[in-house]
Amino acid sequence: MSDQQEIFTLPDGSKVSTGCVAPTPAERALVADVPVYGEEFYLDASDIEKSLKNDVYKQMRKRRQAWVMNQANLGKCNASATVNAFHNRRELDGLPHIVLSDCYLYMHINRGKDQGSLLQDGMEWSKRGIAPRKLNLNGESYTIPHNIYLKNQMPENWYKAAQEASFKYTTFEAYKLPVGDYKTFKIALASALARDHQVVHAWHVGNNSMKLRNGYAVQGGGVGNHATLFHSGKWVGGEDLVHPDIENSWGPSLNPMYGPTGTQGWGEGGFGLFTMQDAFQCTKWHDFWVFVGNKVRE
Amino acid sequence: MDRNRLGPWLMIAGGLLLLFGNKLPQDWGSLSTNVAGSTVVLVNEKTAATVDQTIALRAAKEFVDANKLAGYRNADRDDEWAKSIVEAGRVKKLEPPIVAYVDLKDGSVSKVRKVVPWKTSFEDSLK
Repeated sequence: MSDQQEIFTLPDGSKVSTGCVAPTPAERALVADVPVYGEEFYLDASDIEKSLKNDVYKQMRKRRQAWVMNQANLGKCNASATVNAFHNRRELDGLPHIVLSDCYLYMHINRGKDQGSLLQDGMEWSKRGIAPRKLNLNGESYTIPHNIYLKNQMPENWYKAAQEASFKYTTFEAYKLPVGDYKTFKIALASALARDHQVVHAWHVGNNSMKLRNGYAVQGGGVGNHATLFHSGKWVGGEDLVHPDIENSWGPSLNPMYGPTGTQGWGEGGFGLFTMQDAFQCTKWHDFWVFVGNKVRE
Repeated sequence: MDRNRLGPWLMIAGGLLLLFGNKLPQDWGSLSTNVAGSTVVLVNEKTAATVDQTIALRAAKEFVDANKLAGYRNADRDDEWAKSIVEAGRVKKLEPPIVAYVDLKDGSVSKVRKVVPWKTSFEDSLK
């Protein structure tokens, strides 16, 4: 287990893990040329308000509640957040809801151990494809377990079937959110959420992060040990414009296809708000990624 | 029915056609009668969805249900899946963002029924 992968206990006693690894400067340099979510995406405040006013984020929570994942004690938060981005965007793009396997993604980006992963590796792999949990082959079916992290924990023929199936579930180009200065970051993130683009980000979880405070996530001090998804946002106006809304992967999962069930989970049904300043905190150590849409291949 | 009895009916039908024929829908007319069962597609620039388009996609399911359509898709202009729609648009000198009614077979576009420019909503674009 790495420093970034820690086990925490939710108020109902269930155990959950983090697992977001901060890249080294050399690793971060590897994605220096990746396109930035730039000015062509930015919206005026009036358009951001038009899109996110009237607490649209609550409607989006409702639409997505049935898909809240529970990573339990595996360090696959980054993979779970990325799969959430796929699920959410697929629904908006009019594609059928197919449960994708966060374990399939995690086994390709964890460097051979359950030790967490880098955000940038998750997004890179999204361009190659993520396998559905339920696979079919020659009249038989197989469900990728929710608690594995290595390829060899799957039967070889099913791993190959998963690889084949994964090519249908890919994203367009992934973009880096600009993190150089707060003002640009704020406009870029608010615009992304107003466009229903999905943002995989890192934040730092501490023992005080297990409960929301007045609906908001409580962040600890640190480089960012947990990946979640900003799936929507609350229009607040003023200096902040928007407070992003987290879709976490600590349950409550309502169906075993999304992870272990029977827990109370985190936050308000798996969701919680973030202030814009809190969202910016870990950009010093991580690049955040914007997921703009799925390739249609079905 | 023998020919003598059929004659008057044919005359009545012919007369009705003369009276109302030019008022029948010439192109697409009523949405539900002409494209029910089709899928409505918004073909877009991947980088430039407007807020109106974002809001329309959130409400697309309601639009689909209200108009007895089979479903909807949001596709990128560079997506191979949307190639025939983009081509059909070009024939009409239209560039994305465009809206199309299409028939799908095995998930792929089998027939493009209609292509129109995007306006401010699905309703507005397709009326």
